[in-house]
Amino acid sequence: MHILVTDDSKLARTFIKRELKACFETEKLEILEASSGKQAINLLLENEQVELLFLDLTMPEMDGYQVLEALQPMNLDVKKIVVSADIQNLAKQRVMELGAVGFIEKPIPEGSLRSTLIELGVLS
Amino acid sequence: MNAQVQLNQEEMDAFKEVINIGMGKAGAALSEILEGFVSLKVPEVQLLELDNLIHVLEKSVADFSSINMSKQSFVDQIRGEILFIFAPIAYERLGKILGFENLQDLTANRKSELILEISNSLSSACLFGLSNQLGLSVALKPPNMVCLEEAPDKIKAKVFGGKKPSWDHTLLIKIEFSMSDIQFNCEILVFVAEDSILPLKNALNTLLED
Amino acid sequence: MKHIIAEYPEMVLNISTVGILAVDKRLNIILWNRFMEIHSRMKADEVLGRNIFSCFPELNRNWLEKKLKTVMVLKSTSFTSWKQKPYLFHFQSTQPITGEISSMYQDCAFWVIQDGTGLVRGVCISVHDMTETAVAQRMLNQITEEALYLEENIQKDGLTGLYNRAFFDEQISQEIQRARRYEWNLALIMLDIDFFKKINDTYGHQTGDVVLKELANILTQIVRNSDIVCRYGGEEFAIIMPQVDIAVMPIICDRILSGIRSMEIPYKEEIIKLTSSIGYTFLESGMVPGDLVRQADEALYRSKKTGRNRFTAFK
Repeated sequence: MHILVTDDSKLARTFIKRELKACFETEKLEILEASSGKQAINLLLENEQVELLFLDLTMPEMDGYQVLEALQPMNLDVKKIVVSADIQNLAKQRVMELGAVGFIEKPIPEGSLRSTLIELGVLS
Repeated sequence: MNAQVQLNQEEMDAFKEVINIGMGKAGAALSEILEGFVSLKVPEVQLLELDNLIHVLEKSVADFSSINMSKQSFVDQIRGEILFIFAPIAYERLGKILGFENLQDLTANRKSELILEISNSLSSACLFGLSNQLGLSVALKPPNMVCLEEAPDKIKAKVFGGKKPSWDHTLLIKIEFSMSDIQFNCEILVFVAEDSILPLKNALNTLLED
Repeated sequence: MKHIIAEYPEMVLNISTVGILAVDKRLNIILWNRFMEIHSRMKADEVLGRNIFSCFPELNRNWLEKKLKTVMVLKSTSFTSWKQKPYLFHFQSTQPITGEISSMYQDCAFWVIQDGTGLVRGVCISVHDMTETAVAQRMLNQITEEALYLEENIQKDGLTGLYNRAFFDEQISQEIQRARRYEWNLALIMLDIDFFKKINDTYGHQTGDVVLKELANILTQIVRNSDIVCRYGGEEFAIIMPQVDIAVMPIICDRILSGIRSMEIPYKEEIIKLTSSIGYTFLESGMVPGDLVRQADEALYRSKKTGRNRFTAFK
């Protein structure tokens, strides 16, 4: 499975990668990383095999909302999951309106990622 | 600079992420209490020397003709002080969301009450958001007024009271709080005391190890 | 080993120097210690289980409910201080004989009660008697206020509110220095009420005082902000005027004289009218304060000699 993890914090990306590896033990994973919104979009355009995007909201220059907005007209076949510390209802609502399939609260509780992804219909 | 007070690149990155998560939790809690959308941004995290701090303060108050300021100390595994800087406040709107009534005749005491109440809520949310992520215990002391409707050039005297402080470094976390519904803005300056920077680094490194 | 409070729960309950109480999530009282019993005059068994607002209707419900909710949501502490809010609970003063305040001043702290799993169970409240501190602070504030007032008014004349003679003597030297340093004009007006003794003798000293007060008002209104009006003597006034044009002086003097002429002091069925005389002079090189005063006085004397109700410039 091809996955893109986008967060300006290296620590945050490390946490997500760790959880993903624990979650997909048997499957082969290709994890790409982006540290900015712009980089994320470029990587998505260059790598069509990416099926899953983990996206942080609070990033400088181009935030998560702007990335989602930019991706909307592009019709790329990628499921977008927002992983963020800003968990107010308004934030969750907004990202769903912008085409995300789900919202995961930071910090991701250990071992919970698999069931969350099943819930969101990303994994069967 | 002493290695005990410097955060390296990895530690700083971890610290910023911890702050980010902490603010997310703080924002959600504040949003519940204040019944509206809140915004908590952290534009700055840096190690400061005393002279820089004065500069930071003066910069923060420069644009306003009238400043309200409060402060609150925190103690235990990390200690320091938090300064709150408020531009002119729409007291009636603020008072309403804090459950205050009779806001027509605002005495200085009443205004102070409102300021101290919101200061305490902000510091509780932000500080506990942070300390929980770090796994460090922290307790707050009662908040105090520094000044009410004072001119910006008097700020330095009000904050330091004429004596020169005896420390060299502090770690500053600058937080911008705003609530657009009631047009309320506040700058929260969290200053971590010099002797708490090492425990902080240790907590961050513990997180990085996991 | 059991925690000591579990073994001796009366320990907290028996404290009489600090108030400790607790409410559950529905704001019913679940803890009430001796201090609270004593000062509220309600025993624990009278309040336990009851809603705090039904026991104390004077509490501001809107505000306190919000505050307690905040503590429970943030899982934190909150505070009130006597400095902003004199008291939370309206208890009688503990100094009924010597004390001047009738209620107890209080500092309060609020903190969340959580069980072992972190579940919020309620809020604990501590009440501290701050009456002593409040009284001491009030005294300190009063003394400071009085000191500031004295400092300000040691230079003022009690009756008219104008600067007094002591201030004049000091100020005139300073203004001379300043005028020389910045090379600007300095004028001195000496003004005297015509026949003031007669007014005092005819209408009494009380009325004389009213005249002086009114005149002080008129003078302050007419002169510029930079002019310094002083009560020089019993019925004599001095006006120090920095940065004033020579040509303008007659106009100012005229304005003062007519302002005083238009004064009407009521006395029984009469209306008292008065006039005044003015002498003025300008600072010249080599002059000392005494010279300025002497010259202005000479000019004033000339005004009196030539008929009063007029002004004269020193020549």
